[in-house]
Amino acid sequence: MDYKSLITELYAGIKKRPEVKAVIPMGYVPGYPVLTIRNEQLIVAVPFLRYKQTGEIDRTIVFPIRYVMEFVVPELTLVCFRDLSVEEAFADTDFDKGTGFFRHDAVKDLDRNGYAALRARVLAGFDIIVKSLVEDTVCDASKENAFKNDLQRAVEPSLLGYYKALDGDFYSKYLKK
Amino acid sequence: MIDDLITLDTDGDGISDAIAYWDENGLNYAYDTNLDGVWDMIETYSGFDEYGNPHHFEVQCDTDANGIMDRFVAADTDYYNNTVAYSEAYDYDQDGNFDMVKEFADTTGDGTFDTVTTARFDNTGSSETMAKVDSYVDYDGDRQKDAGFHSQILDYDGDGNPDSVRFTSTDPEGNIVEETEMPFEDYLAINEMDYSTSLLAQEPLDLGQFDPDTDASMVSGDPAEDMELWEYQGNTGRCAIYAQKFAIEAITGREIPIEELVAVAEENGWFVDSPDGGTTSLNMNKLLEYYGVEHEMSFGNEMSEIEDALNDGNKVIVGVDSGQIWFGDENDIFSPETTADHAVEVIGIDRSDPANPMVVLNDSGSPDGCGELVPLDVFENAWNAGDSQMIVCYA
Repeated sequence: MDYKSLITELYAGIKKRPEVKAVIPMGYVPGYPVLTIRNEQLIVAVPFLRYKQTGEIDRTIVFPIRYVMEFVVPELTLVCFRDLSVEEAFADTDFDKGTGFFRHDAVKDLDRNGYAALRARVLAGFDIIVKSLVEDTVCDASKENAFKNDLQRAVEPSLLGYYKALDGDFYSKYLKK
Repeated sequence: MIDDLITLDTDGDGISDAIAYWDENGLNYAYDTNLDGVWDMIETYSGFDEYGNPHHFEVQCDTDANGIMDRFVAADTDYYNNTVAYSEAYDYDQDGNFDMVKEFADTTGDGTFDTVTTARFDNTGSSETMAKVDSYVDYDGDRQKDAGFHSQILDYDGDGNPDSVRFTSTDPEGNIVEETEMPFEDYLAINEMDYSTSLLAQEPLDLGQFDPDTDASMVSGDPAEDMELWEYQGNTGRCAIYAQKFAIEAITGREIPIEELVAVAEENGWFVDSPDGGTTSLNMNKLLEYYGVEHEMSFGNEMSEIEDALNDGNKVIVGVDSGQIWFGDENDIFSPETTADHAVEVIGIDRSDPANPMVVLNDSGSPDGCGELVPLDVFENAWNAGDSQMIVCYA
């Protein structure tokens, strides 16, 4: 099996997956994933959140991460669905209330196409990390650093707390500056 | 959930003109005061005490019988059934936002209103004053103003967001006694984020409406007829409920109150009635099933399939990315990822200008969404964002 672009392919087809159509309400989109190792299995956790365009530049409202779907790698079979609104750790979160605005400072210089290119690069970076984990090889340090820089730039600062809550190790390794 | 629906003939002429029913809001009476087949006044009683006396009362009226409620009255009573607060609200331009709210309150409980507050809202963005609230207090019960308290929410730079709040107090003659002003963010701890997600947030752009006099031979579907069924959803997540309502009513000829549809959808787990809830794409057809409308739901469709369905006299519901429909595809206004976040009914495709074909929508999410015109290429992009989902409802 070719593990070259597992995450890119997962994201290309995620909206068409029947599980997503069945349980994720309209309007929720996949945010950047989190990689977790559980019981010696690699899991990719895909967070789902809402954005609301207001018609103003850099005033697209970012809402909290509400749902998480976890897929086991490399099969990409759904193994867990979480609604964070019923989890104790998120009891104080108001999911109706925006948590920040997009575009945030780090991507203000990117237009629609520029941001799409960054997003594609981040997902390709995930592909490299996942491939090395699945094949149990050492990831090229320069590629890993480039991925970290792109990911830190792309993730909205207002969502960092949610990423930390989803997986502290992933946050510390890839998102914490 | 609606319980025990009772039909009433309130004027005894042998024609049913009202219904009474219980739902989660309380005991409701819906009246068809002008016998045009539309409920134009709804009374709701709630807050019942142990003796069965309601302590809260609300009335919604459609004063011009156009299908949109535009006058709202609410009253609260105390244990002795004295009215302690009474308010009226008006949506003059029927855009789903109140333009004026007037409230009378008995703050001392002596049975006499002693405070009158009037709030006026400018939802058009045409004035520096976005909202103005005037309160007058009668301290001594002589029914004369003893003091006035006024506040204005101001948008100095005209960007549609509030910048400042000005407070003024006045004496009985209306002379200013004190005036202060503070940044909006400090006012009741409402910051820009709270504001942006509030009812006052910016409405979608008015994209223009289909002209019913357009040469019918150049138009697929029957938009002029379907436009009559359009309603505005206001600040709710009920788009899929409204889209199904439009199709069910067009096909069955039966009018169904939106609250009944919401109750059925909630009761069956097909819908969560909150801004962060809504409907999943696989549940977008459940009310059609419930009301016996023959239909077919599919994904990955082409524009020609919508057009064929309309030409066959069928009704079409789709999921679209509302950002692209309402705000276009500007390079600097976008979300990190697109998807279908909104359900609309496609009621026509207008090719009367062959160079600029337009898709005609019944879009409950915009106050100007009745027969909303969207350029075909913009629609296609917005539709593709959600896997080109289509529900064809067979006439």
